[in-house]
Amino acid sequence: MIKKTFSNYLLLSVTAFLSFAIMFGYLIYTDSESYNKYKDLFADNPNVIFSYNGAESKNELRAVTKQLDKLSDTHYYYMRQCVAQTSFGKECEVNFLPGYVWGLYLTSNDSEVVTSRAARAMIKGKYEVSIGVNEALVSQRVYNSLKPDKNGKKQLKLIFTNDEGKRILKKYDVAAAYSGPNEYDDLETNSSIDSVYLNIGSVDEDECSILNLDLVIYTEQKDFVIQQLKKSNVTCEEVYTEQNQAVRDIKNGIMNKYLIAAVLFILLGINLYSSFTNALKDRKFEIGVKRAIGAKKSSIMLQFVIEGFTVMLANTLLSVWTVLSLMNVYKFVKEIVFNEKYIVTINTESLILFVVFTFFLILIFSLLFAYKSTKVEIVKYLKEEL
Amino acid sequence: MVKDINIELSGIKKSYDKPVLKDICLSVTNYSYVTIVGKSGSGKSTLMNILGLIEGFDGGVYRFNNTVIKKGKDYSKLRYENIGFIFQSYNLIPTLTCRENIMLPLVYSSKQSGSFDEIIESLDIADLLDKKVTVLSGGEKQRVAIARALLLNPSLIIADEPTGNLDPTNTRTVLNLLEKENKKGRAVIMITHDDTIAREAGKVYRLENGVLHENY
Repeated sequence: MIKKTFSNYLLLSVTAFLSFAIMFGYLIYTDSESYNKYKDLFADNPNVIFSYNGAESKNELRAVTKQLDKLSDTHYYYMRQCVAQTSFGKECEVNFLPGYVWGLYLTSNDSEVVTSRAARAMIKGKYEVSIGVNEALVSQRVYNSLKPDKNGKKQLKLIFTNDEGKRILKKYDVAAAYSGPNEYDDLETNSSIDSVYLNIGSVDEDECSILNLDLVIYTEQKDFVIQQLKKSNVTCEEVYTEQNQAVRDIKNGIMNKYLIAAVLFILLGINLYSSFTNALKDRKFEIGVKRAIGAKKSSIMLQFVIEGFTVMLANTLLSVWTVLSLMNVYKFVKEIVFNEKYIVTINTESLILFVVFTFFLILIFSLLFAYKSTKVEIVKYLKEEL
Repeated sequence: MVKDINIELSGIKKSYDKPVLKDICLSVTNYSYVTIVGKSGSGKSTLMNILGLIEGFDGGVYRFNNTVIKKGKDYSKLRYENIGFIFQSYNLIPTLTCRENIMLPLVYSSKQSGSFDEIIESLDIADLLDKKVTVLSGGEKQRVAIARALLLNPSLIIADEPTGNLDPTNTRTVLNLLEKENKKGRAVIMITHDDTIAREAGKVYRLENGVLHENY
């Protein structure tokens, strides 16, 4: 009998534990995945707009900047791009930045997100970077390929070609090197192109062939600036749009989460009901005896409310602890094996959902358990135990 | 000090698929010692359950200390204040120790038990108190069950085949105990199928075809 009662509570505990672990695990996993997927995007400043129209867009961009000059809380800088060759024959993309910029958002035909993340990696989480006139900021790969001079300093030598085909060699001290995914491979030629950052005063406009003229705008008046850019026929991309899209994706995720939670609620509820019924089956003798010696229905009900509540609450806490431990193992694997920074998190909606979910399951089933316990016919079960 | 007890059954009827009890009349007061004999399935246990307020009845009048018992109502208070049950199968909770089993009625009653030590002494079960009931012999179990029944100082003891699972020595012990409690003023209603045991009582009834025959 003792063994039987224990095994019945064990069965109920296992069911309750699994039910809550599945629910909590699902919520924390989806939230963590979503957070880690979008964390870089949301870390980007949503007030930054990137616009470009290619090499011939100088006039359009200038028309836009005239409008921008009139706005308060709005700043911008130009970024020119050209292609140069390193002294060891490799082609590289050169980005000319002002001497001081408040943010670094790179353009690429492949992926804006990747390049903006590259910039983040390059400046190590800060939004400010400063490059002197004869200085260059290079990728780790370029830096590694450079040979130090007699003084141990590394110098980058770039060969620029202007529109008339005239070539010019320029030398730059390496101000800093960055690591990050902004070195990308050109799949068609099977060669890789590196990005180099120079101060805008490092090369005259007539010394190189400009491929792109880009404008990076920081503004508190996004809608108005975007309207102006569109009016001037200037292409624009904004972190804000991507963030909005991500917010929409997350909202859809939340809807799915509610739906799945509802389905889980029903399925796990059925499971718990069955386990509670089983647990009660072996307690009917005990209830019969207690009722025979004078226990009121309310006393029996209270006993089973407390028991049901305790079993459910203990298993809820155990399931939360287990899921958190498993998520930390998952985080460890991600960080150590896959070298990905992973943050385990659960958002407020999920937490509320889980609390409401567990509260209702605990309440409903504890009360149901207790209510069913009072329905035990005293006579029927008194003679069962011999 | 045993409280007054006065129970009266008049024209009690009970049916399941077919009539089990027909027009049962019975009066029990302090110092009554009543046994009810009958074959298996004659309705003895049903009558005991009705008397013990753990089962309802279909017709007739049942007065318990001037309270008219109604169908479907919970009389747990009357039960723990007045009745002590002794069962053939002891009905001790196996997960509890003897002490916990004996003390169990106190969980549901505010009534103080002043006679725990006296009961334990009179039943000679002091050594068993901290043992689990699963390790006890039949006689020991029944003595623990009697201790539980006496703890709240009931005025009525209902014993359903209390010696059914016991050897002659333990049977005698239990019967002596019941007689002793009856002499204190408690009413005793015992159900048995054993005529020899039935003759221990002052009044013997036979339940046959749902009818209770007096002075068998």
